[in-house]
Amino acid sequence: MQNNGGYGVSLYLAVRAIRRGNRNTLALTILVIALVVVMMNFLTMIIGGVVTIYNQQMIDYQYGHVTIEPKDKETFITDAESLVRELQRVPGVTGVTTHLSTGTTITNKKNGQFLTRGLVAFDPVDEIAVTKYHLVIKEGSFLSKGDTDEILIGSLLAGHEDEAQDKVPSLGGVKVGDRLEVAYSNGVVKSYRVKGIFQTEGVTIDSSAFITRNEMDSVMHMEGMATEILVRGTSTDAAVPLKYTIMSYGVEEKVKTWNDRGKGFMGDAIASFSLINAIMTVVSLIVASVVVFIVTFINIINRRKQIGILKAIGIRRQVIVGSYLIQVLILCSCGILLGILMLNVISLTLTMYPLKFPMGYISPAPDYAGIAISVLALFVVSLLSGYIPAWQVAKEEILDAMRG
Amino acid sequence: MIEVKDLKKIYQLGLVEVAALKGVSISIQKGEFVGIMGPSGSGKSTLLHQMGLLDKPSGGSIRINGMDSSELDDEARTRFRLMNLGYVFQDYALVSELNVMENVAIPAIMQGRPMPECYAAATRMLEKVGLGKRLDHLVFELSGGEQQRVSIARALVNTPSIVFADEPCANLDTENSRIVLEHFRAVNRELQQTIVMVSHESWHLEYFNRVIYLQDGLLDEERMQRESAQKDPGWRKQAG
Repeated sequence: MQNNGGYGVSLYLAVRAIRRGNRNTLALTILVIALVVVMMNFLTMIIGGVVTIYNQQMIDYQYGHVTIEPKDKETFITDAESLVRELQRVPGVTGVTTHLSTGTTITNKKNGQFLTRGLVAFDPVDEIAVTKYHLVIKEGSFLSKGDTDEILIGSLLAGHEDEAQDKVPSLGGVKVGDRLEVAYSNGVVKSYRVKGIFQTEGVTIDSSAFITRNEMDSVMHMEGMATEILVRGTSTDAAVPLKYTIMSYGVEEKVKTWNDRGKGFMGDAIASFSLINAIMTVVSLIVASVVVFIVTFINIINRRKQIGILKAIGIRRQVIVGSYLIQVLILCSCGILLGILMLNVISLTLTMYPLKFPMGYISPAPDYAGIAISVLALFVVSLLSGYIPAWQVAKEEILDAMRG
Repeated sequence: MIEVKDLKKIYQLGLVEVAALKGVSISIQKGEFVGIMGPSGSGKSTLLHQMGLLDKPSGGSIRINGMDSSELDDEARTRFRLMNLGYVFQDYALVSELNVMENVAIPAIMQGRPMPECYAAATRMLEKVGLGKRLDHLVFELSGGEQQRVSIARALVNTPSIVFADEPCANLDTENSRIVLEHFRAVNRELQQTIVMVSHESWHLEYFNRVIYLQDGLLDEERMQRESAQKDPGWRKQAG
């Protein structure tokens, strides 16, 4: 084996220093770097999970993949039925449902508590093809097409008899079978039996109430009109192409993807999370750099004499510094590999046993691009932290270093 | 081979300047085994460090094999030490994370020689100092005498022009000291190896061809003449 007498010697010295150095220090340093990798990426992973579940809730309960809204300066889609028929012919559309929303005051007749809410009407058969309320019924059952005397409400709107247990204002403990009085904007007041209570874990969603379209039409006489039309496509990724396909069919109403509609509120929340995450990442990097600096510094201080010896016998300063940088690189690589392994174990465990968050069960969503950037940053910071003390000691006078 | 002219070294200890060498001029020829002796603080080690290019003088000049050391920058001095000089230190100065053979081989590896050649040269040198069976041992597994022999093997592995030894027997008992000195004598005689050694033990005199005496940072000319006149015929007989 030929050696070049340069960085080959650095590698030669580094490998032996690691192999024959203090095992406990080695293990501890690798563990700290691994934990830094976990720290730098765990929150991102959880935020990713939160975003994923929030996006899924928006799609499954609020907006479908694509939403059609009334034209500018209009409150309603006037000829919703023909638009629905047109949408059903668009390739990639798997379900279409119309929503008609109107302002109401809902009163719990048991205790007199009331709330002002937008009551939404849909055709239960169409709704099943687009949203998933029918799958999250906590009590009772989902609406049927012929229901006229029944109402479906969210668990947060139903609330608890003990107000202290409510996250948001509620009707104070509504149960299936209870009767609610709904006062419409046209002055009609009707009493409905609670047919089902759903629970999605989304605060806005679980505060809403639904009746059938037939019932709404009988009260409001707005046949053929809609406040929005939700469209379900084949997949989340296909939402944007589906939007443009629908637009290409000459739909004049506003066509928006779930992301277009949801990004206002959630965009701000994600930006806030991302800022917190960036701060965490910077703190983690500082922790990593300090740890690597201390480990390298102590390592080097303990080997000042050896560095002096190596210089005395003709080993170049760059080779000595190089050997410490290679040691840092090896430690860092091992730490990063262990960290990624730990992240995967955490991710797998939390996928199998998801964390219960206020908005639902969160499974982590690893951001591999983010992990790659954090790994790169960790390498850079570690090498710098290793280089500074190594260079400082290596530039010392030989005899000063040899005196230790 | 080594020409030292008016060599001065002043150390700054806080606000105080301490002159370790006050103008020393000496000459050492190829193949000599020269001792540097004198009382503590006389400047023995300082002179050795200056000649070994481990430190820079405050004044004067050092020429080794015709090369003026003041013309060398740090990088060139390091290269010069690697290619031309060998060192044996009082406290052995071995690298604890390298085993015996690696410690000896490292200067050869740094020269860029092929690895098998480096290990072969290291093995030869270690066999020569009687440690051929301890190649894989780590430094802490060796006695002081053995460690110093490893240090000698390392100093010689690149067949340097000059070996500098700074009180190599200071931490050894008489038996081990004698073994070390015998090795020095052997390489000096067999290989015409130039050796410059600092010592404060009078019984080491028998190994030296010549002794440079220092006193308070200056050559002790009077003693050198006296010792030379008294000892020169005698030691040759003893050594022979």
